[in-house]
Amino acid sequence: MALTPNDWHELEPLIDRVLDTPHERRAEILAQLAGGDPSRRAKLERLVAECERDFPLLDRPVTERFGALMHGSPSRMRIPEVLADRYRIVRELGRGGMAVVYLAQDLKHDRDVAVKIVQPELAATLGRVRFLREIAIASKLKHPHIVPLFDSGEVDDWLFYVMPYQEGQSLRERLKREGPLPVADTIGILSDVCDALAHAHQQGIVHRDIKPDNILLAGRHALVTDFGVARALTAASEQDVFTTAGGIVGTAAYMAPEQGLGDGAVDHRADIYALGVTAYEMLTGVRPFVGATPPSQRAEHAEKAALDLTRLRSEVPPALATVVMQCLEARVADRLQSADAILEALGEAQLLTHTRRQRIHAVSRRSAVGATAAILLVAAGITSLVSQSDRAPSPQSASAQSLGIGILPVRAVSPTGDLEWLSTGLENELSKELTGVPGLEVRPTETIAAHLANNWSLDSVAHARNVDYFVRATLSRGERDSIVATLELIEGGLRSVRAGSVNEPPRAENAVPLLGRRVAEHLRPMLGSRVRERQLESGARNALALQRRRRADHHRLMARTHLDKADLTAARYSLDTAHTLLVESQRLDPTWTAPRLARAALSELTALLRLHESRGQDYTRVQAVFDAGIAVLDTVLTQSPNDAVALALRGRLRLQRALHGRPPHIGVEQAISVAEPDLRSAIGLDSTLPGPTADLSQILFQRGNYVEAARYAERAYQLDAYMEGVGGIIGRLATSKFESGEDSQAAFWCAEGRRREPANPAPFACLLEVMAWGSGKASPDSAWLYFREIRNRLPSANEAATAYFSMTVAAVLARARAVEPDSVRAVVRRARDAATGAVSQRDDFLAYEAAVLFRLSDSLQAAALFAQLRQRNPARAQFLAQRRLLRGFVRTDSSA
Amino acid sequence: MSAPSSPTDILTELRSGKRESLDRLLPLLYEELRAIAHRQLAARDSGATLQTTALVHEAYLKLVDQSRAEWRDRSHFLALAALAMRHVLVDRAKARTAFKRGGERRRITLDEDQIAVDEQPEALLQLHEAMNQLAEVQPRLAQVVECRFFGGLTEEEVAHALGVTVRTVQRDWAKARMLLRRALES
Repeated sequence: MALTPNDWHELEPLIDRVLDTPHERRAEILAQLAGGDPSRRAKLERLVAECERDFPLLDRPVTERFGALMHGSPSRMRIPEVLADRYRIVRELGRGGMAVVYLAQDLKHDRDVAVKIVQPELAATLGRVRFLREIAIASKLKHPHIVPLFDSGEVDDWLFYVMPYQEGQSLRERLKREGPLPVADTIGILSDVCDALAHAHQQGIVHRDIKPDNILLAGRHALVTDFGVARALTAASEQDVFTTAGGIVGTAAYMAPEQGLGDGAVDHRADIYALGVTAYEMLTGVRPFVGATPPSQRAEHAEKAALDLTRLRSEVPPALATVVMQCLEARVADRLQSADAILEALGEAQLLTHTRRQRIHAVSRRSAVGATAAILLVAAGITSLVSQSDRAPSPQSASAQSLGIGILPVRAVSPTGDLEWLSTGLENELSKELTGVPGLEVRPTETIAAHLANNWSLDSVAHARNVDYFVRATLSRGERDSIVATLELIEGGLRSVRAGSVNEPPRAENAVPLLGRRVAEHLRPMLGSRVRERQLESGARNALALQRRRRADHHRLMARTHLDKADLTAARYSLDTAHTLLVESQRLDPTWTAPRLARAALSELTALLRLHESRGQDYTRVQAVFDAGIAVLDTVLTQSPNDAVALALRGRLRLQRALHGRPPHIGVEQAISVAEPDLRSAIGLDSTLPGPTADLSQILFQRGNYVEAARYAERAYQLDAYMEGVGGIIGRLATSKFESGEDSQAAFWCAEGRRREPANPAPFACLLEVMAWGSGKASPDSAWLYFREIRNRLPSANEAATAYFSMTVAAVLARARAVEPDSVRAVVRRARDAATGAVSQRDDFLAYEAAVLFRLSDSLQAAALFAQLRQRNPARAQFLAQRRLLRGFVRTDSSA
Repeated sequence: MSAPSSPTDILTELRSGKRESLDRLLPLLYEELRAIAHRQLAARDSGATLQTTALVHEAYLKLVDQSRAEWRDRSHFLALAALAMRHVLVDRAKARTAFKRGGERRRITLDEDQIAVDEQPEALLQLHEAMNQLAEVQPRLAQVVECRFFGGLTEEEVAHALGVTVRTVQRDWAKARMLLRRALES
């Protein structure tokens, strides 16, 4: 008798009724429920009988029925048989959560080994191929303080790996027996483990389960064992096994707070933390956090720092205590950042033995490239870096600061499949576009696809192919059939960041190259900031100094945002904070130029703040700010006269001082010349710097050399690989093109600027000016539209700006002959009246008014206004007469 | 607000219906049950059987009493322990059958008083699958089986954990047995 869901739905309430009825009244209720249908009654009766029949399987508790399953260890008989042809098992050495360890004899090599067999219930949940591959990666580690992996494999579903058998004891055993260790022994063990970690981390291998059980003591040395095993377990665990690897790999008490989150975003600094816990335990006999369960330990740590260990044991040298406490910082970024940093700190505190100090010294004196690479590798998110042996000795490998970028296959998501054809093209285009960008090493899709086809995990591909970031684009259809590319950056194959999206109208022709270019443009600034970050790290020698420098950067960006919004109080606070952090960073590492360069760069924003604060009046203070920045650079350049970045920056500050450190337009043309030598020297030293090239363009522009200015701006645009100054450069391109008479080019760059920075008023201003003062078509409708767009984007009521843009609209109206001349005059008058507050720009407004009147063919009145300007400010008049604003309307020779 | 730090906190959260709390507690329970089982077996001769109830209760004592928190959701906790227990056994059974995979799965007679030792893994996995199917149509029936069979909970404990009456638990248990047997025999 089959039971369909419908039957069940209908019958269940009836069964309930019967079950609730005492046996003596069953017949009665059955008859009633069956409603005179004998087959229905029989069915019901039978189901109830089945319900009440014994079911031996379930009638006793699970442990009785399935007792054999509870005898959990792998059957002792089977394992030796499994490996019999290679290893002769001597005895069981111990068992942990992950594996059972046997002492065995390696028959082929005639040596004692430790065979570790993964607990079968764990093994059952693992992706075996992946597990073994990860183990194989770790087996490449060769280091005097790392227990090597001899062998690994899979026999009849047993997963095993083989290590040399180490006589001696584990650190755990020693701690159990002796309690806290002598300080000297602690330092010895700590530094051995640091050596091992530094080596492994350089190869991109994180241990993930550093604890006293995994540190073996042999003679006077400490060895780290089980390298790569925890990682392999994590990488290989299948999704649905909450119970095993994902959740439990790593030993809770030693796990860094970020490690328990299980999101894979764990790097070498988790090992630093675990080592900190271990060191704390060596020195005090207890662990820093003693919560009952892993979650409570993590919560405990999130809320408070560990008790300073000198309070538990006063004879611990303060420097050592500081190092240990710094390893235990809850935030990854606050921790000591590398095993080398621990060694250096111990070395500086004279805590290491003489031989060891010498060795570290030798390490830090390695060839410039090698040393940079070493620091970089440790600092830069180890999981993404490939082992040395895998890396081809190409010239590129010398450039340790470059980022490996892997282009993942493009995915097309569209119900009709009409985007598929774009995928491959976009992959190629993207490789092409990013290949030229300095600091990036592109791994095209085809080099990655093969691994993916073999089901490699992304982080494993990242290892094998030396990829720091994967780029994944997903194509879909957006509004009005446009093509949307959604972008994702995946760091080290692990941590994914949504990188925004690019929206292109549908176009059959050129769709692929255009999309490729857009996507690349979108990615370049993001990747650029990571390259910069890496450059910064590679130059840093002191982790705390680096951290301060980074935090300062954050506050600088905040200040920039506040200034854009004219929030002066917030901007002042951010700038002060940034400044303080930089001074602190400089104090921590006086030899490092990065904080000083950053301080100098900060003076530009500070000057801007001063200008705002004094409503553009207090030029003395503005000059003082620039002078302070220039002085900082002077000291940098005294030490290293050929620092191109410092020269470029000093040139820039000199230029900005000339432009902003005086009332507008007074003697600017001469003042800016002081900036030129620095800028040219900087370019001479490093022709790839976009900054000085863009600044030179500005000087040339001020001198009225518009064609050259446009050439330099174009060059700067090409050099600006990470599009850091792209807004300004595009603006410069547009204005210099415009002044050279290339109106359509100018309009193109204005539009380009608008596309890139939709929230910025400048590109709209640019479009409006091209239409007002240029020779192209004048459209009053567009002019009013631009005017509104500008006003919506200005941070606050800015009378002078509004007045100026009213003037430009008036010029468009005049040129289009769309309205009565008197209406244009009325607009001009209102604008002039509105601008009376802007004293500093009074001269310019004379020129604007004249420019509109010329376009209204009211030459007499216009000439009179211009004469007035020439009388008041001849240099300014001369400069403005060369601009498209007035060019062709007034004679520029002095006799006029 | 900090993350809950003890099973008790997690259970308090569970009552308020936060699903992720369950995900955090289960691994703890799982480990604990394994450890307890291992200890108990190590302390006895091989061949000794474990008491389901003892296992689950010891896990409860270990994880909850350590936090010295007042315990109000005991039956709720026990229900979770039953779930963890099920996972422990299923994982073990999977490990045991791993090398037999690929071939035809043997049909195990479940209606006898004893299940041969070497047939236990497959029997358990079949039961596990049948319970999964049951959970899709009648989730509460599957839960009752889980609590009573895998966790060794009393009818009262199950009723409290699931928020139903004891009588409902009895009826559900009867119906579940019938449906599972049908599923396993079909």
